Amino acid sequence: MKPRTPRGIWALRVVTVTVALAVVVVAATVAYSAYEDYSGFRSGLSAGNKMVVGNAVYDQATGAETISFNVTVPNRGLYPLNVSISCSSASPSVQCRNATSDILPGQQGVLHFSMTVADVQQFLGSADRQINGTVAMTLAPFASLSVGVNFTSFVRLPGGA
Amino acid sequence: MRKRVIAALWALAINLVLWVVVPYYLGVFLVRYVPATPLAVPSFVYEFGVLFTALDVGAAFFQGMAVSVPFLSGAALLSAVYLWLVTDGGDLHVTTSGLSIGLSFQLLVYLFVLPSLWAAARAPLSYLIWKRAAGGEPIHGAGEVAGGSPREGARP
Repeated sequence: MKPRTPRGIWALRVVTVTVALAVVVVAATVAYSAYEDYSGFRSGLSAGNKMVVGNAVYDQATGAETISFNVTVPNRGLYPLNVSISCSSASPSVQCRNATSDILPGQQGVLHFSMTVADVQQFLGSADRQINGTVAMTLAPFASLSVGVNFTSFVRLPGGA
Repeated sequence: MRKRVIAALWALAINLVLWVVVPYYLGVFLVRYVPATPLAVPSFVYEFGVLFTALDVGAAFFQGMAVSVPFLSGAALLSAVYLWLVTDGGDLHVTTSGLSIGLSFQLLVYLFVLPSLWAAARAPLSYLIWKRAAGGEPIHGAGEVAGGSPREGARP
């Protein structure tokens, strides 16, 4: 005769199934959200779409240049998305206006990022002419991705110097 | 006895494929087709593979017996540690051609480690519950302990 399974064993089974279900559900929803958000960026960056609009204004009187980006980010996923663009430089002539946006699922956020180089000519000739940019995306609260990009190449004298 | 040996050999074969053959060929593939990649198969995979294979073979050989509990719990704990180490605790950084990429997913790693930790705790708990159900007598076979289906006649 088959022995009866004790209640404790049933309780352990319930916990096991619950834990496995929770892991599967979270993993599936995070993977789905990451894929959807990635698809949103990809289609936004493709030709014809104006997800990123950049602008550079050079002031001839002061020699300063302001480089700005307006970035429109859609959140097609299931979790809130935090996007930020920031920069830093050892050079005192560089000023960054970092941008961050919390975007709820199904909505889109707009980031206004700008950096100003007080004296472009001096900056390009200096030893510490390096601007480190960081684009960070957080799929709250589970995962975040940050990409470090060199923003120095955005700074140019009029005429392409 | 014959069934135990077959189960142990089966576990050995599966673990050898998972922990030695797959990482080896993955490493060969990365070196051959993606030579500039900063990704590599960590050497500790093989060390973990040996330990994990030993524990899994032990658990398969002693399946349904009390002595399988430490093997099962050990294998579950080892897989949790392995997952933690291989993902760097959910904090990965790669720098290649002037581009630095950081990926942080600690909460996901905690979540993925949870089933292994639960399995490590479940094995002795199952054994104790079966033992108690048997009226305190030592049991020589509790299928639940080994994670498989209970074998008829093994339990009291």
